[in-house]
Amino acid sequence: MELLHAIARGDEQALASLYDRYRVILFSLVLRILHSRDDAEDVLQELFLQVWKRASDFDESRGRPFTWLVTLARSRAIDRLRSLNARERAVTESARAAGPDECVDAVGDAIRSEQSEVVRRALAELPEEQRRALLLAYFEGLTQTEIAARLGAPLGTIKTRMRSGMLKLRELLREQMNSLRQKS
Amino acid sequence: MEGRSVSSGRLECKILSNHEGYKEMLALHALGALEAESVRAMEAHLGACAECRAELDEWRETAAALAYAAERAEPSAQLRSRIMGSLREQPQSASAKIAARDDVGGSTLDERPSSTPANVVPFEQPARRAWSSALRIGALAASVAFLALITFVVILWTRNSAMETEIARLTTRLNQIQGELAREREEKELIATRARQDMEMFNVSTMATLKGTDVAPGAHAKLAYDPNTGRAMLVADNLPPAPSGKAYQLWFIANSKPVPGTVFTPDARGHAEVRDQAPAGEARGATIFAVTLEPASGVSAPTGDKYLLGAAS
Repeated sequence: MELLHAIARGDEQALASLYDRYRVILFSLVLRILHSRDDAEDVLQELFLQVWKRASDFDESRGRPFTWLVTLARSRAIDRLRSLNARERAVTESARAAGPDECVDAVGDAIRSEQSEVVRRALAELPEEQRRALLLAYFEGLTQTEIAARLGAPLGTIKTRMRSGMLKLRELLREQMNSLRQKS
Repeated sequence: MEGRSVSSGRLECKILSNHEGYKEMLALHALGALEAESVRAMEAHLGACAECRAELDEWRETAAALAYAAERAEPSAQLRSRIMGSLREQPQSASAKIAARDDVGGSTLDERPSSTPANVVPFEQPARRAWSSALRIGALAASVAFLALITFVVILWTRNSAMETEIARLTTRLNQIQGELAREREEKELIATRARQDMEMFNVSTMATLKGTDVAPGAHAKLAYDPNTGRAMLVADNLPPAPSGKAYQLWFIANSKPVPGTVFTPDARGHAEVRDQAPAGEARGATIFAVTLEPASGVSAPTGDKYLLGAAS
């Protein structure tokens, strides 16, 4: 919090500290979305410049710096993903669809930190179909309709799955959130 | 919520009428899974509903935790220096700097309309303060003695990075001015329309309506003419674009003799406004007016096709 205030006052060192603190989680997230280190680094650079210019827009009453940064990073990465040429994307997607259950893999290799342990365990408790829908939305940037088409399920079913998944995830994380909050 | 919707007009009523429906969609909105159309409706609802805004913030928190499901990866070591190096080329927003300068800190956060989502970045504010302070510095520098000027130059030199920031901010200002110019251009067009209306009321004894000929059937123009002074004003529309090296030329025709008038080029939309002064003598008695396409330098006797032709009414 203090870091963002310092950045808003033009403190470059504060930005460096913010980068050091969040670079791994943000880069992991963006790389997972874009599957290209170059693209991911570009997005991260744009993101931190945006933070540099717009730190004063951060509203602490609306959430933690972590949430703000992750939300910004994700939407930037998804924007870039969408701007990739359609053909390229179709190829990547069909390749991915044919692969093993990426969700389980991702969970297995997740960041070995306390925070990631908490999330990993929570995700593992969700029914597979719910987890799959959530991760498709979050990391692939698919809309509910696209997820329904991808998984061959009715839209109503997908909406319910995602809502139930989010409710359960929130419940599971709720107690842990406080400890997460203290750490970041 | 119902009480608010009743009191605050029909739009809000509509936005709020499906409060429960929007509430249900908040989790999916935080995940970014809504279609664009639903997102727009949702944003409108969020603008009016503090309860949903607060709940969305919670869902965002949950969604953000999913980032930890990504496989751990480190960016390259160079990225840090790349980012730090690029800061100097990127001025902070005017509002951020002002907040810092006036040491009002967090109060700018409170001034933000509560409906703005935390991850929405507003457009750049015009850097008026920076501009006027630069002017002040400039005025000061001009008025102080040589020594002070030298000192100032040294300060500028040593604070090169600060100046780069300043330049970037002035660039923003320049863009703003360009925007203003574009607006002025629009105003000019408005004025042109008005000028055409005013022309009808000019104290002129001759008014002519010029019609497009076969080569430009869509073209038309009005000409106001004062035979005493020779002053003329032509407002033409729908002229075809003049080919390169060519331009239109106005002619005053008196006793079948064409007297050359001004050479002009219409704008991209074929519109032209031309003020001219017919030479003293025969031309002042002109009752017929024409516009021909000629070499861009103009000619003393018409050589090209007539595009517009009309007689004094």
